[in-house]
Amino acid sequence: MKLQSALSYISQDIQQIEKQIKEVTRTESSMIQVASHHLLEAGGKRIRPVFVLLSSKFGDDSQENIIDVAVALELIHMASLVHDDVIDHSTIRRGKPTVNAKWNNKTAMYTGDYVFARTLELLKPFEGNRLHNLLANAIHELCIGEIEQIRDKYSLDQNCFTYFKRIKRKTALLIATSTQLGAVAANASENVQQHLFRYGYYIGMSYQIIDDILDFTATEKQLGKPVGSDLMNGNLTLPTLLAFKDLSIYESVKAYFNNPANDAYSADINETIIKIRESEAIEQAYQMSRKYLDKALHEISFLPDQRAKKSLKQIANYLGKRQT
Amino acid sequence: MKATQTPEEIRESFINTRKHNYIQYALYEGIVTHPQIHFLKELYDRINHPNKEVVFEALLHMQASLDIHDEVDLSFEESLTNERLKVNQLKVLVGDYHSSMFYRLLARSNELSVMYHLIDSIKSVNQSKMSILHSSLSDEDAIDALENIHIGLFNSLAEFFQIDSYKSKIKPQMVVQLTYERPRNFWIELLKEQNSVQFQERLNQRKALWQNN
Repeated sequence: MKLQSALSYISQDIQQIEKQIKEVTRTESSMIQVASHHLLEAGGKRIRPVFVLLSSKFGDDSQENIIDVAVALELIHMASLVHDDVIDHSTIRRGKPTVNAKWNNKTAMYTGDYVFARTLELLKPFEGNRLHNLLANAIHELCIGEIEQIRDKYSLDQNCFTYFKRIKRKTALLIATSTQLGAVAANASENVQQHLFRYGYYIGMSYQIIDDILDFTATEKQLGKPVGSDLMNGNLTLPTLLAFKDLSIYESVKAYFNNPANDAYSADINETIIKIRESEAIEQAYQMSRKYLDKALHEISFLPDQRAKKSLKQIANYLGKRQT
Repeated sequence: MKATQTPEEIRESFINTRKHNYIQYALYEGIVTHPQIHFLKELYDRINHPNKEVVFEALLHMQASLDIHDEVDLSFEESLTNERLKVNQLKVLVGDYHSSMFYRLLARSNELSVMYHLIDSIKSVNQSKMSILHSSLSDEDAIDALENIHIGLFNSLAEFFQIDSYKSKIKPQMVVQLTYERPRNFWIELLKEQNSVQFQERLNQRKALWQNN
């Protein structure tokens, strides 16, 4: 069964989320609305809101505000993307010009800040601060992860441990928070909330590892950016760290990191990217990703039997096999 | 960091203890200024609230976030040095970092009503910035937006805690110092570029209006 048909029973909710994402800034009549719309209409996989919806099925999913939580998680993600595009000087995202490319960096900055504030407003109907505490921590860790990624750029003083710590902050915690918050908003039991958090965490780790593998193995057309961009931009990811067993790869990366502006080393790094793609590091990275996926599937086994449990399993398997 | 310290001590302590350890102190040049802290202390002294220390710090984080994002270069320039590019990237992230601190502090202390009140002004400050950036305002509206950018958050705080003497005593001085006397004011420079030569005169008139208030 394809993923889309597996999720057909929540398709109305997904449509509602799409509608609300686009409407979230519609009441405003200013340039900020135009830029926010441009950002929010670019679409995306929407995995975070889907996780919120599915997790809410383990509690009282008739709660009115679950859609708001799902929308909030997607908006947080998008607010971080619009700032990431400024950091990376990206000009295209999902086939459309980025906000910074269409207007300028500052427009992108204020759009992101505005969307963030608007996101918090969506959570106003929730009483108590538990939901806010969880989300605030995830966002804070995300920011630390991003700062540390810049700190570690072009640095060889890294290993698999620092890599896992970084992707935990950068990706896994926000996905874990999505799965947890759906359950929190629906008042699911504490035990279920914890299993869903861990499911999201492991899925997030696996997802990011696959993303980092695809940066070497997918085509430029599939990626929408040059193959090996992470390494070329000075970011060490799992495939490269594992490929360092081959000293010639290590030496080539070292020479490039010491002088990334030197054309001679830039040419070499393209060859190194091919070597990494053809090395066993790719299969080893896949194995690590699968380990996290297995852990995610193990967490699901503790959840009560129902349709959402099956869907979470299908999503895990789908994400594990994705090629783009 | 204690709100009872001097503005100089507060700035020093805020940056040293709250910044991410990788970030250089120098990145905060022109951010969390002494006049901003001075006026925030003025408000703090008039607030009667058990968690006012937390609100004080949260506001400092958010003002730092808003101000540091103003320091991000307008556009990406191929000619920028790697170091300059890195500083620019860090300004994006440090702004986000302080805004997450604002959220985390207020969420942890369960100060959600003040948070929602301040969020309204955060939205409004960003709207004002966008309006000026895309030159869609009349002179008067542009000056209102300019003032909102600099004192919007403080205004919102005073409004939330219904500080009596705010409008008559604190606000006029605050507008003058935080808006018109702020060194290196990107927004005033931009407005001058966008508008006719008479705009400076309008700015002077508005400043005088506040001074005579």
